[in-house]
Amino acid sequence: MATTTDTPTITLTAPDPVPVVAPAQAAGLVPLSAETGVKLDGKVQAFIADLVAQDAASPEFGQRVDQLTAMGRKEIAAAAGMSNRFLDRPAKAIDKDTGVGASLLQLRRTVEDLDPSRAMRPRKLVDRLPFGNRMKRYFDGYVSAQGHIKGILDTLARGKDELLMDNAAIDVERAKLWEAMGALEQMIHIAANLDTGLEDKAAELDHTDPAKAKAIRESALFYTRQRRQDLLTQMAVTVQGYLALDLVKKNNVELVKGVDRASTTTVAALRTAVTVAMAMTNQRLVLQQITALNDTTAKIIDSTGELLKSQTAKIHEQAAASTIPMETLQRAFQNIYETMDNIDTFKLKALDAMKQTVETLGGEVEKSRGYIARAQGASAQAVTHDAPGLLSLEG
Amino acid sequence: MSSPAQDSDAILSAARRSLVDQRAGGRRVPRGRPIGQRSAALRRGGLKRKLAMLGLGLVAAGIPVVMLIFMLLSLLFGGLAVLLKGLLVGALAFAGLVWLIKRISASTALMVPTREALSKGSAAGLIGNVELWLEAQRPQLPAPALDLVGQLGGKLDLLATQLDRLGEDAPAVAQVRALVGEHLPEVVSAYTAIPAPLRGQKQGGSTPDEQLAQSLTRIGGEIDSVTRQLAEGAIDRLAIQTRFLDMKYGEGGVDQKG
Repeated sequence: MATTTDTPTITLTAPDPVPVVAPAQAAGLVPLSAETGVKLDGKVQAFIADLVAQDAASPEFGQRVDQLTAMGRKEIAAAAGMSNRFLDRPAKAIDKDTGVGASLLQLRRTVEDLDPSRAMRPRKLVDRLPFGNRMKRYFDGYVSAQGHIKGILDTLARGKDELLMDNAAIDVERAKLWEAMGALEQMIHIAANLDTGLEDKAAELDHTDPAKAKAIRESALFYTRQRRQDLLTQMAVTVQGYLALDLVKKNNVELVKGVDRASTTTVAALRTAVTVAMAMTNQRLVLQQITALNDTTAKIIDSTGELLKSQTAKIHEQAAASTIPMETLQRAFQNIYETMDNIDTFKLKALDAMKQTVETLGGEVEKSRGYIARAQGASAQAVTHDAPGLLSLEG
Repeated sequence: MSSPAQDSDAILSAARRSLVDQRAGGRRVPRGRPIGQRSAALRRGGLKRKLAMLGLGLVAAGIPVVMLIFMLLSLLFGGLAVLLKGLLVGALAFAGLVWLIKRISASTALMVPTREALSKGSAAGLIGNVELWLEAQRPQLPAPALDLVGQLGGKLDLLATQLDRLGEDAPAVAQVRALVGEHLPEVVSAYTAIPAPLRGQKQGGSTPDEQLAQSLTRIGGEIDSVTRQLAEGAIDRLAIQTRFLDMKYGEGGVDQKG
């Protein structure tokens, strides 16, 4: 039966849009090793001891507090520089007018012209008369279309390479974001510990040295909490950017699958046509360009190359054995359409998810701008006071 | 009345520092040695021009002697016409040489750039000039700062290789110009403007010597980070290409992972 040419239908699933990550959820997403935790705790304890040892009115005390206002400045700046890069990255692959999207559309049009169900429909009175001629003319259409189809398949292969390259860039970027998030996580850990540590210390000093307790609460603790909030906000935005990049990557992977499948089904249909032409009209249909493509196609679409080989064997068998070879050909075209429809549905959903993600991330980045501005304001100050501090991650 | 006795603390600490310095081999400022490759190249260029001038000068000095001999010979064996022709050629050659020497000498002597020139010159020449300028400041710097200046030379060379790939008006160039062409000379000049005996005295918690060392270290760190930033593009490009090849041709391509 003709239906055996069916390849297992693929489903291209569009990933869900990335939700808003609240600052409160942001902490703890990147694991911190126990060893690092202990080391950071030690730093915090040393800092608090050092701070308490200073006279509350002395410039030294002020310098320590300045360190707090500049805490995590580098980490925030580094992460902020990266997390909104997602917004610069246009969803070009999915865009209808360029790249892969355009090639797929072109392929669809070309294939529709060759569609047997459409071509075989008698249009003129003359067509009704001599049967053989019409068939011959139909198959001749393949010869003239083959160059065009080859061109489109080549473009698709290049487009696939671009998608892969895009994903490689995303991988590298995500690795860097992960690092930035690790650094932020450490700073958040420090800030959280400082918060509780300073609060405890202030409570302790309430009886012995109320002036110092007041200074700690009003300056050190105040700035620590402010910075902690800044760090958490930046972390939330960075996590969201990280997830958004994953969304783009998943979309690309699905699209690569779609491109592979579209190429395979198209080549399969052309091969079927060659066989069917032989069986029905005894016409030797030579699609040289496509035959040449076969060799390379197996390499271009390596994952489906195997599938293609076994499929071709089946097609030959069926076309030769089947009483209705034309149906085999129609089935092959049906396969292309199914793939294309699948890609179209996927694209609609993916675009929607992408739009939502861009909107949420854009909003969050906008909100975090205020915090970043504060971080940069602090950095101007830090140039003068930034001792190779107890609170920096290096060393 | 202020007497030196009131400064006994400062005097003692200065003496102690001096003792430590001398024990450590004393202060030998490596005057001639350039701190970086860029300034070394500038020096080599200067030396070549100097040698060329010397050669040309010798030739020019030889011309009158040759002319004198020629005059005598032509008076003895030739005629007045030969003598006049010879004199003309000789005078022209002499004038030509003098002109050439003047031209070379205009660009020749290796001039240590002024501070103002550092922040203005082209990006390509910036690093070499800064290195030259720093080298010229060495005699006035304390021993610990000398080591730091030496290290700065290496860092600046590395930065220069990255800068060469940038255009004159790239945003990073402005950043580098401010850091290396303005902040760095400012720190060093501010230090050298302090009278030598006061450089070791504490003020506001630290001495000028210490402040200089701290500032130079910070600038060195910043040069490193700028260099890293500039190299980041290249590093990423390789990483992306590696990942791409892995995805396209490697085991476990994108489809298996999808």
